[in-house]
Amino acid sequence: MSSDDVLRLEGVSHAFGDTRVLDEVNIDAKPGELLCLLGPSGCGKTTALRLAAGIEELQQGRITLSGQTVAAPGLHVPPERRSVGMVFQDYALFPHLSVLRNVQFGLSDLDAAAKRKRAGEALEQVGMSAYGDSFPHMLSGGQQQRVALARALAPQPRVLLLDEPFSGLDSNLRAHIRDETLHVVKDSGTTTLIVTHDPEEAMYMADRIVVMNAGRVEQIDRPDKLYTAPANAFVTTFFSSINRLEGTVRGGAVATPFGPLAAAQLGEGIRVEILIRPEALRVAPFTGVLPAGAARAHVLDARMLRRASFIHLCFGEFEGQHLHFHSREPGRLMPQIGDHVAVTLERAQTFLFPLTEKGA
Amino acid sequence: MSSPSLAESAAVPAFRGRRLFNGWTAFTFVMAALIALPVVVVLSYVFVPSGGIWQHLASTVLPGYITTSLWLMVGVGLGASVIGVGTAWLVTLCEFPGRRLFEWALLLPMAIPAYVIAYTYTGLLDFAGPVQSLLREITGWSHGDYWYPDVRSLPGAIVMLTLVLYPYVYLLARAAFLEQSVCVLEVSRTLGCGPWRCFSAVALPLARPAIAAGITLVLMETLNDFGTVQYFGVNSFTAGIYRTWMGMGEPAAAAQLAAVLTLFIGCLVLLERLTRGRGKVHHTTSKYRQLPRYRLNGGHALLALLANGLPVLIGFVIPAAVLAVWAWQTGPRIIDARFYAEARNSFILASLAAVFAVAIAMIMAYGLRLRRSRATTYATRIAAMGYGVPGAVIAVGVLIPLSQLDGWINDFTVAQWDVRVGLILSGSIVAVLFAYMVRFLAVSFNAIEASLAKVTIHMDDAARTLGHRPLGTLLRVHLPITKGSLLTAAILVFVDVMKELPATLLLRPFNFDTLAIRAYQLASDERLADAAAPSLAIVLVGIVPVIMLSVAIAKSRPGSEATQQERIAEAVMDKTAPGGVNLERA
Repeated sequence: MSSDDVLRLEGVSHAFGDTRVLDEVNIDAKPGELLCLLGPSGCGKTTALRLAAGIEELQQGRITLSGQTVAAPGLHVPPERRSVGMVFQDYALFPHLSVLRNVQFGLSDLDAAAKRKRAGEALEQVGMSAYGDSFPHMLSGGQQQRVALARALAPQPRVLLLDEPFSGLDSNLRAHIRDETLHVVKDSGTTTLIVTHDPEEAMYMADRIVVMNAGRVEQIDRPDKLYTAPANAFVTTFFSSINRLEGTVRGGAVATPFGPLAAAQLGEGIRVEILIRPEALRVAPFTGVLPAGAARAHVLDARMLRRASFIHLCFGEFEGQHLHFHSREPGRLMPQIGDHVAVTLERAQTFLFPLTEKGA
Repeated sequence: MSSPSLAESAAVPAFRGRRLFNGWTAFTFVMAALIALPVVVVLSYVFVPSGGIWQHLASTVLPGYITTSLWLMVGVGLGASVIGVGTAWLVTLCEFPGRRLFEWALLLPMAIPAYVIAYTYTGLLDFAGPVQSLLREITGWSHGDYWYPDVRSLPGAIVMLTLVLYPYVYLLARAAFLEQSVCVLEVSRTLGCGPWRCFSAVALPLARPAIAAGITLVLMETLNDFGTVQYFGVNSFTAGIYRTWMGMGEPAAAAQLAAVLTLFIGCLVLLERLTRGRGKVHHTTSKYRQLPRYRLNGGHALLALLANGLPVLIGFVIPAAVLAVWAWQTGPRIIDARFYAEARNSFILASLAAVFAVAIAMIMAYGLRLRRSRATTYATRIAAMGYGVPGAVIAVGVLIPLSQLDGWINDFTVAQWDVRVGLILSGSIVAVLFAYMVRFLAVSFNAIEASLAKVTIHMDDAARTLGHRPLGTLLRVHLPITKGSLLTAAILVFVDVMKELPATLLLRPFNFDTLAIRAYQLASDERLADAAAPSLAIVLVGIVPVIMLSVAIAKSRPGSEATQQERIAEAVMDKTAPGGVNLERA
């Protein structure tokens, strides 16, 4: 956390009745940064967003905007005073106002001419200049989303908050609108927080991602770091499907079908789980000789998934676990069912974590 | 009213503590307290010894009041349910010539206040009236030679009330039948259910909560009625309260009668809630599907026509025609400066009441939206409960504290400046308007709350993040979006106030008469034909909401915009108890 953070949540906790929704959450957003709050439903990401906006009252912790405290126990600066822009899942455009008037809604400090100009600029940024006199019900979902974005950006807020802004769109439209939104937001230079449950969306858009689970922040990092250096099993499994097996650290290493994996830092005798991404398994036909570090498996099924082959592999029994793994192989390797293959492991995409009682 | 205390700059704390008590919710609590006051005052008289009067009443007339009121309730309840449910069934689920007409025409009797229809039929059917006179002329009989049913009796009162109150049951039953799962009805038909079986075994049980709500509303209106029972000499509670207050000059005893009546109604509401059980009217999808209708032919169609036609004929067409004829005959004499003054008074009272009711309801509904807590929810429920309380009871409950207040004010002014200011509150328009608010706030509140649902919570939040305070959001977002419903609510309150009799009678300022009062006075003087002109004026005003509702029904298809209007109007019918039926939320 640095002093030039635009938005900062410190030690924020929140509960609805008896349900604890946020637990000592710390989030910071740097100027111009696009931050994604990513996590499964119910992890508290929308609540964190609403607290930042001021439409939910803070119970515990502190929230600052550009260094000024806007929320603390006993202090609540209302949303109309915070200079935050917000885009909601259902866009919440005002049905009784035209598109232009919607966008002008937040510009009451300006005189009429300045209002028109600024609103016009905002509409142009999102490519909706031609629709100024239309009404929201005449627009498609994608168009409404753009107007909602223009409306939030027009007053030039300190922070832009988007709550699952693409979930209401058809999936083929989503990628296109997502890309447009990304460029609009980056061009405006506004610090942005986006809430999403889609890891691919987060990786596409964010400078950094805040991975949340059950009210806690699991990890905050750049997308590539999150993928290649996840902090725990949850973060690992959130970004891709995972092949999993368990083992015990003996003599500083854990046994796997691919040979021992060094694990001295985890402690002797500790039960660990080994998480392997599908792309970490390299499949090659079995020629009769097993190369070093390879394991033998037979193919249960092989599917073509656009860019990659998806292969179901059976490694048989290993230390009491029946291993049925998936491999994602770029290219068009399509072995036959029942083929024997030699599978090697790419260490970079394999992660070891101590086994906790509650699992991944 | 003030907006919540907000920071002038971002650094100044906006409000302290977590229990936020802003201006909006404070207003709601104050309103709830004011509205509850008359009822609380009346109920407190249960505990006040008032000397021998109460014992005297209890031993003489109280049992009579109770049995009479019970008979009224049973009679009107039965009559209104049979007519209301039967016609609703025929009109929604059967096809016969004239069905589309009856769909909205069956509402017409709602435009006529019960006392007007009572005066009209008395004038028509009484000994000296045209019907009996014609009969005597034709047959040559004279008084005592023939038997003719006496309109001015308990059965007569039951019939009168049934005629004007069945539309409430009709409306709710009709909505329930329409909303029922079309699939359920279709399945029952494929399983061989004929119209009658389908009705009794499937449709009726499913519609029971709605029908129960409608009947409760009818019963509350029955207990509220004053003009009819008083004119017919039927000794029900409201007549007794009025007589004890005005005739005997015993406010305390009157208040005790009022307390008993209120407890009565409380039990009624409780009963309705209990019988509602877990039955909820289930939503169908919002897609429109044509209900399969039973085709009625020949004799059946004729019966259906009769069943639908008679209520409309007897409940509206005949009285309206008679009123029109009498008004035409007596108009030149009756419609004079005094008439215009009374019309003006009615108009002023109704307009003021409408404006206040809408404004107060809007503030309360919005305040509830801003900060929904259990306390505020209860407070709004209390404020909206007044509809169930009869006008006579409210009048008593208003007059007692206001007189007391006047007394204190006079004591104060006499002590300070040796000046007696007289009755400034209890004899003024303030008292009447207060009573109207207690009784009719429910009407505007339910309509407005239902329509506020059109504004999503996200729109509220969006407006706040775009720099507008709660008050600004109310003015720039909520009001423009709901203004149609605000107008509807205003019209409904306006019409209800125009028709109101008992509270106005007891509370109006000296020399301040309304059209309703005039009709009442003329009828009391047995000048029934003369009473036609003010009565007709009231009916003409009362037709407006019926027309609005009829148009909505005539145009409606489930899921369409017109049904939205219909739902808002039905939310008004949602007066039975706090929370009401909740058939649907707009």
